[in-house]
Amino acid sequence: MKSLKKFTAFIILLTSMLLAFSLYLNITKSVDNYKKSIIEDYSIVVVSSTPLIKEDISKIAGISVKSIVTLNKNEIVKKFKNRLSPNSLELLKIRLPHFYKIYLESFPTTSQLKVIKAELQERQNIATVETFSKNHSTTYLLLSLLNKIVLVLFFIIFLFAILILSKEIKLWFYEHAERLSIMKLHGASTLYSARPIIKTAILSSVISFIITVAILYTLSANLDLFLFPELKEILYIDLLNQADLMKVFILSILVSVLTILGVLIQHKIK
Amino acid sequence: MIEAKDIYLSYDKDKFIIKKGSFKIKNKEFIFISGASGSGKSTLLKSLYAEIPLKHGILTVDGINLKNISSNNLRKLRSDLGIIFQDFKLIKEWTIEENIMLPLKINGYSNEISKEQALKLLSHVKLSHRVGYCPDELSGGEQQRVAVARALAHNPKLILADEPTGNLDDYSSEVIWNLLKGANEQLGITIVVVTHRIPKNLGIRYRQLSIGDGMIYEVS
Repeated sequence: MKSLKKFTAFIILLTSMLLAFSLYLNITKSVDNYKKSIIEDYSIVVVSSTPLIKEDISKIAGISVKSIVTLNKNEIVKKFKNRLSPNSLELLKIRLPHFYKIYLESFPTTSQLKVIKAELQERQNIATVETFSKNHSTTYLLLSLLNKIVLVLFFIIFLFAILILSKEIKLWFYEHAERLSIMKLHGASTLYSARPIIKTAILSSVISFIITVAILYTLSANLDLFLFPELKEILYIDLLNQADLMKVFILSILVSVLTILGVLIQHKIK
Repeated sequence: MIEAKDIYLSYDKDKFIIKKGSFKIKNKEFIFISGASGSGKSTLLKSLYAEIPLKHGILTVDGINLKNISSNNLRKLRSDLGIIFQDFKLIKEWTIEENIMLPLKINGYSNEISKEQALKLLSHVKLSHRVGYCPDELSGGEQQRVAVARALAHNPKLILADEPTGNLDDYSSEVIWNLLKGANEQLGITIVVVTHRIPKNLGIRYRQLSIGDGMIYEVS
C-alpha cells in the first residue's frame, strides 16, 4: 500500500511537470510560427531625400534586414493624374522624395521598434520613418506573455517535483534503513541497495510519459472544445509532435535519474 | 587468512578497547574468540569486516589491508565473507530463500542459479518445508539456520560469527554448531566465532583466542 502511494505520488508529480513542459513547447512554437507569419506582412516605410544605399543598411537594432524595396514613384503620381496637369505631374515626379519599404528578418518588439526608428532617423537623408507601431501586434505580445507565464509555471512545477521526489526517495532510504544496512554488511553497493527505488522512479517516469501522451492525444482530438476557431488559426498547435514528445520523454527520465543520483550521492557522503 | 599486528581498536579517540593486539589465523582453522562481556570480542570481530576502523597497526583479511580501506575493497571484502549475527539480521520483508540469495545476487549470480543454491541450502539446514516463509514466521533457531545458509551461499573462504547461539536454546545451538563444524570440516571454510560459551564435545580441532584488559592472548 505504501509503495503504491509512493508510486502514485511520483506519477502525479511527473505527469503535471511533463504537461507543463509540453504546453511550454507548444506555446513557444506558436509564438515562433506567429512571428514568422506576421513578419512576412510587416515592413517599415522610409522616406528619403536622396536614394538610399541599400548595402549600408544590413542591420537595424540588431535585426537583420531581409530586403529593401524601392516604391515606384509612378504609382504615387498616378493618384494625382486627374487633379494635376501632365507638366505638374512631371514636376511632382522630379520633386518627390524616395520611398522605401524595409523588410526585416525577424519580428521586432515594441522597444526594438523605438531603436529602429531612432537609428534610421539618425541618417541625414532620411526624412520620415513610419514603423506602424500602433499596428504592432498585440496578439504577439499576449502570446509572448503567455509563453513566459507557462515557462515560469513549468519551472515552479519542476522545482516542486525535484524537491518532493528527493524527499520521497530520502524517506524510502529512512524506511528501509535496516535492510540497507544488512545489504551493506554483505558488500552491496549503494546503487545495488537502492535498486527498488530506482526501478520505481524509472517506471514512474515511463508511466507518467504514457499518461501525458494520452492526455495530449485526448486534447489534440478535441481541440475544438478548448480553442475558438479564430485562436486555432493564430496558434500553431501540434500536441503530438514527435520531436517534442521525445523531449518530454527525455525530461521525464532525466528528472528521475538525476534526482535519485543526487540523493544517492548525499546518502553515500553521510 | 587473517593477520593482525599491534592493532588498536576503539569507538572514541582516547579509550582503546583492544590495545596492541596481535594474532594470526590460518586457512581452514576453526577459531573461538572468547572473553568476558564488554571485553571487546564483538569489537574485534567487527574490525575483521571493517565495521570498526582500525586506529593503529596492521590488519589484513584474505590479503586485503583494512587500514583506511577503500569503498571498493570494503565491498570486495564483505561480498567474499560469510557473516552470522546474534540477532540474525535477516531482511524481514523478504522470504527466507530471498535472504539466502542476497550474497549470491551481490556477487553477480543470476536469479535462477541463486534460487537453486538457496533451495539446496535450505534443504541442507533442514528448512525445505519453510520455503516461501518470511523470517518473522520462523522460530529463533530456524532464523539462525537461515542466517547460516546465507553465510554459506556463495562458498566463502571465511565465515565470521558473532554469538551465533547467543539467543538460542540448547537444541537449536547444537544444530548451529553442527552446521558450522560441517562447513569447516567438509568445505574447508575458515570459521571465526565470537562466543562467551564454547560448546563442549564439539568434536573438532579448534584454537581459542581470549580477550582480557584489552589484550588478545591465545588459550592453550
